[in-house]
Formats: sequence, structure tokens, C-alpha cells
Amino acid sequence: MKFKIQQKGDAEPWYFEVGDQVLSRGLTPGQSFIARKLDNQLACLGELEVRLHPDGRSIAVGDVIVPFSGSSQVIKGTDVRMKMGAPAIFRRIAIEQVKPIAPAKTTANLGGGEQKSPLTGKVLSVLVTEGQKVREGDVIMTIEAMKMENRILADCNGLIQNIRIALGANVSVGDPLCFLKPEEEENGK
Amino acid sequence: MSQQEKVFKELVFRPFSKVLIANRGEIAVRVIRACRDLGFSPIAVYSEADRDSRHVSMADQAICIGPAPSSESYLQIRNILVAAKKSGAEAIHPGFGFLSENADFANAVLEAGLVWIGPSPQAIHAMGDKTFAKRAVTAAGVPCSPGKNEPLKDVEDLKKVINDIGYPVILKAAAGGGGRGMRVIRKSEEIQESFAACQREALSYFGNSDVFCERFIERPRHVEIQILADSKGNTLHLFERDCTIQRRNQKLIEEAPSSFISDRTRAEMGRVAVKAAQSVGYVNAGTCEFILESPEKFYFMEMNTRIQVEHPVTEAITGVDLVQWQLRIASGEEINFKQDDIQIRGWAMEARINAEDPFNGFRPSAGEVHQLEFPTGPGVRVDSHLYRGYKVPTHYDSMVAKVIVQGQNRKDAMAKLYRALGEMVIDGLDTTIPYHQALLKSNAFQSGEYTTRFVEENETLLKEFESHQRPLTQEEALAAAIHAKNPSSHPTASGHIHLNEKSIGESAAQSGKAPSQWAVAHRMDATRR
Repeated sequence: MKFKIQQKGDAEPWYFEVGDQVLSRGLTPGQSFIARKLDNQLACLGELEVRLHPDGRSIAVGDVIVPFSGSSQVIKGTDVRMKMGAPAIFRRIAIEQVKPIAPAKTTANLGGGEQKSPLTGKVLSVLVTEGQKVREGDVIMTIEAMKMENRILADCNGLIQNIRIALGANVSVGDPLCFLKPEEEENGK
Repeated sequence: MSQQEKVFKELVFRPFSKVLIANRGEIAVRVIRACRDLGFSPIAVYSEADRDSRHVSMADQAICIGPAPSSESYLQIRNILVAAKKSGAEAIHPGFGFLSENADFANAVLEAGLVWIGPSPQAIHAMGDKTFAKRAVTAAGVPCSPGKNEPLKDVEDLKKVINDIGYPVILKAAAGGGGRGMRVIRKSEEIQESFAACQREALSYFGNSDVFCERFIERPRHVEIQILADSKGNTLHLFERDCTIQRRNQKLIEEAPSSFISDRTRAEMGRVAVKAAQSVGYVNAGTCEFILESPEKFYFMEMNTRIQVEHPVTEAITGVDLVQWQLRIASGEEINFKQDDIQIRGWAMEARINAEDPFNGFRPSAGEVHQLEFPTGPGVRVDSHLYRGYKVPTHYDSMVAKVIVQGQNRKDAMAKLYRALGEMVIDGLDTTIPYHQALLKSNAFQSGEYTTRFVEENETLLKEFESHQRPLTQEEALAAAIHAKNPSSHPTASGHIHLNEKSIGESAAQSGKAPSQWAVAHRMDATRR
């Protein structure tokens, strides 16, 4: 498996290759293996010895220790956030397997579509009506959870359709709230 | 004086051994620990949503007091008293929040023949009515922000006050607290609407539409004084806590001492806070909150008649166990040290860790704790009710832990807090840890030059912190890819998020379990924006 790794904001990415068998089944704590450093044409620049520390909190690359505090979290697409370093801070890093398949343009990456509740709570206000045009970032509704008011924002410019909840309703994570028809789609793409 | 004089029971002080804690979560755990330290038997109460909570498992007895909504459980005076009777509790500690500042609850506890671990219902009532409190402390010589210390009769009344003190002014609910139902008025066009809105909110939040008005201080510091008073007439202060760093009136980081005030102001504020407490015959632990316009100019805001979230920073710098003393004072003990015995040692800071996602507007994040590791080492304390496998319920406050550090000075305390937050692992929930880390590295926080508006005026704090990180080294880049891609770096295979949608599906299929709600929420999150 070849990877392109780039921290958000960094000028240049890094490229590495790790044997498929190494990651497919999961590393045993204490296990060592060799990874290859690549250039941006994916040619090999050299080898590095890697060892996963049995406490699950760090990885040694040669004699350099890279600590981790917790698991990585997917943010969006190939971007993950992980807490690493000493003292560990959160870094946002895009980790891409090289040989990418071009993603099809869908409602999902255009924004819009079915607007689902990101949290469990009670609908405090519904600020739009069906057929209303909204702009990206407009507040569609507010949901109260854990004593706090949370604003649900429009993903993109578009048209509000099919409002599925009413004022005061209790919603759970993932419950559909309304449909947001993206503007581009509306204009016939 | 208030419209109808209520007749409240007087406090009773007598030894006890069984203590019911009418609270949940972190503070219930804290009080249980104080009970254990003193050899008392702690009794927990819990709602149906809290059956699996840590405070339940740490107690000697645990009694269910109703369904998940706090209005049907933790706020049900009757249910709590029934639990007390059933369990044979002799005293009740209210913690903070819920019924802790409810004079009727304190009174009911006393009427049931139990010891109330807190100030008298009369003192709670007096301090709970903000206009009454301001009148009482003003009479005792405590400085208050200019305004009218009585409920406003109508809009005309409000206009008259504004004429006297000038814009901007702030309208507050007389029965309020916690920053809810407050409105700032900057020009005459806003008067009518703000007055009506504030009355409405006061009624819906606090069941009393009385509002009052005082001068609004634009960019204040928030500094409070800890009070401890016993039944023998000793009233002491334990110096200040600086709680200026707040978001929507909720404190984020508290520290003691305050870097803002001089020793002279410190002594003056302490003296004034003792007077304020004495003016209502205060007994037990309490806190006088002040706002500061400048390092010398402070105004009394309110008195919190309970233990506070941030009490550990005071415990750290003074060495006084405040919750133990709450219990000891209630049992009739006399405070065995004098004002002059209390000295500030070093510098303490507390970061409140909330289950909220600071990268997404502090959206609450309920879910299951998959991995948990608390920081330790010199000067570090963690108060929390979390355990591995615990599912954080959505019904209550989002605070899940407090990290308290003590250093030799402010710089050392900041370094220790930063280190501790780096070591802390709470997997499965989004937490405010990254926000605290960014805050600790900001110039304004480090230099001590900030006001209560800091968080709202620095919305991009976290983004800036991320963008100022040094580039990844080759070792970090490689390790990051392996960490993210390696299933065994994620000890909880079931439902944990992996690098891409495909591997999520795979891991869920491998473990034969559906992904957790939390993972689903995050995946949705990932596709939202």
C-alpha cells in the first residue's frame, strides 16, 4: 500500500509504502517491519524500520518516537484528526492511498440533500418554510441538547423542501429534518 | 424586602454518618470521595438514565429517583426525600446545579429532620433574589455595579434608571443565575423589546418575571472569592479564583490566584466578600462573584450558595479540602484554622472538559467512551465520573471531567496543564481538550491580558492554532499513516471509525457488530460539510 500523507497547511506531502500484509490484519504490539520512503514519482528513496510500542501509545520510526494519545478520527474524506506528539496536540492530516479513484460528483459532496439531525435533542425553532431559498450558512433550525442551543446550518445555497419535523419535536441523531435542494442542481447543473 | 415573607427553618448542626448526595456525575463522585475520607457512608440517587453511572457504583447504597429528565428525577424534592428516608440517610449534600440553590429544597430537608449540608434556606433565598442580595450587601458596605436594586415596575421605570446611569445597561432576571435571561441595552430603540423579552425569559427559566437593571461593563474580568463559614461565628475567605475565560457565560478555565489583581485588591475583595456573607448570616461554603472594570475597581455580582465546579483550584493553592469542610461544618464542627493561617501556595488552573466538539461550534457529543487514560504526575488531579465503556447520556450537563493542575507559578501551571491535556485520552467522545490546548498557547492567555469576551472575540483560535503547527516530520508522517490504518491501534474494533468508509464497513463486518451510534454520528458529520 502506498500512501500520500499531508498535514493541512503543509507545503509538501510525504510518500511511503507499507507492505499490504502488515496493515490488513493489524499489527501485533511490539512487531517491527520495514517501510519504504518514496518520492513524489513513487520511486523508493530508502527504508525505515518501524515498531509499534506494546503500550499502544507510540510508534518508533528508527530511533524517533512518535507518541499518540487515542485513536484517529475521520473528519472528511481522507482527512483524519489525531492527537500526536509530545505534549500531544491534535493534527489534521490527509492520508490518501495512492492510486485514487476519481470520486463521482454526488449530492453528498456538493452539499445539500437530506438534512439529518447531528444530535439528539428537542427542536427549539424552525426558521425556514418549504420552498424557501437559503444561502450556505443560514440557520435552518435550532435544536436543544444538553442545555445548549445548537444551530443547524444550511450546507449550501439551495431550496428547502419537505420539512419533516415540527417545533418541539424530539429528534435523535440521524433523523431527517428537511431536504435541501442544492442551487446548482436546481439550475439544471 | 421580598413581597411575601417566607418562614424558613433554621439550620441544625449535629453529627451524622450517612450522607445522601442529591446529584450525579462528577460532583457526586467528588462528594462521595469526601464522605469516604471522613468515614461517612455515601448514598447515591440516580435517574433511570444514570443507572450505570460511576457515582452509583462508588456509593454504599443507590436509589432510583425517577425517569431521565431531571425535572422528573434530580429536581424532584419529594423523590429525593423518599430516597433519604428509605436509605436511612441523616444528611443531604446537594452538589451544584439541580436543587443546590433551591431554598425550598433546603427547607424541606430540614423539615424532614435531616441535616442540610449548605447554608440556611433563608440565606439561599436572600442571595437567590438578586435585587434583595444587592440591597443586603450594599447595606453592609459591599460595592455593587450602579443600577436599581429593585425589580423594575415597567418600561418607564427602566427608562428612568437608564437616565441616571447611562448606556449600556444590562437587564437581568432577579431570580436568575448562570448567565441565562440577560440582555444588554445600548440604545433607546431596544428598551421596549428587551424589557419584554427579558421578563418573558425570566418567567420561563426561573418562574418569576422580575427583572432588574444595572450598568453593563463591556470588557470585565470575572473574579470570585471563596467563603467558608461555620456555625460558631467564624467566616473566612480562601482567596480568589479568576474565571474570566468563559464561553456563553459558561466558564472554561479557572485559575487561582488571579494575575489581574494586586495583593491590596485581593485583601480588599476578601474582606468585602466576608462582609457580604455575614450580611445574610451565611454558613458553609459559598462564593461571592465580582466583576472587575479595572484591577482595582470591583463590583459584587452575586453569591453562589453552594460548592462550585471550580472549587479544586482553591483546594490546590490553600490545601483546604472544601467539600470535607462542608460536611464537617454541617456536623457542627468549628473551623480549626484562622484567616491568617491561609496562604496562597503556587498557582492552580482547572480546565473543564466538556463532551462537545470545538471544531464544530461546540456541538454536544454524547456517546460511549472507548478508551480512557487520565493524566497523572506531579501537580495533576482529575475529577471525573467517566470510565471505559460508559455511555454519556444526553439529558444532562456536558461536563465529563475537570483537569486541575498546581504549579510553582502561573507559567509552570500552564505548562503542566498543557502537558496533562496532551496525556489525556478520551476516545469515543469529542471533547473540548483541543480548545483548551489552543487557549493555553495563545498570546493573550499567556500574557494574562484578556476579558470575559475573549472566547467570542477569538473565534478562530483553534484554526489559528492548527495552522501554526510545525510541518510533519517524515517519522510523524509515516507513523500517522500506520496509526490511522492499523486496526490494532484502535482497541475497540467494533464501531470505531477507521480511515475511510470502506474500512468502516469492513471492520464492522469483521466484528459482526453494527457501528455505534457515535460512529454513525461522526460519519454523518464527515459527510455534512
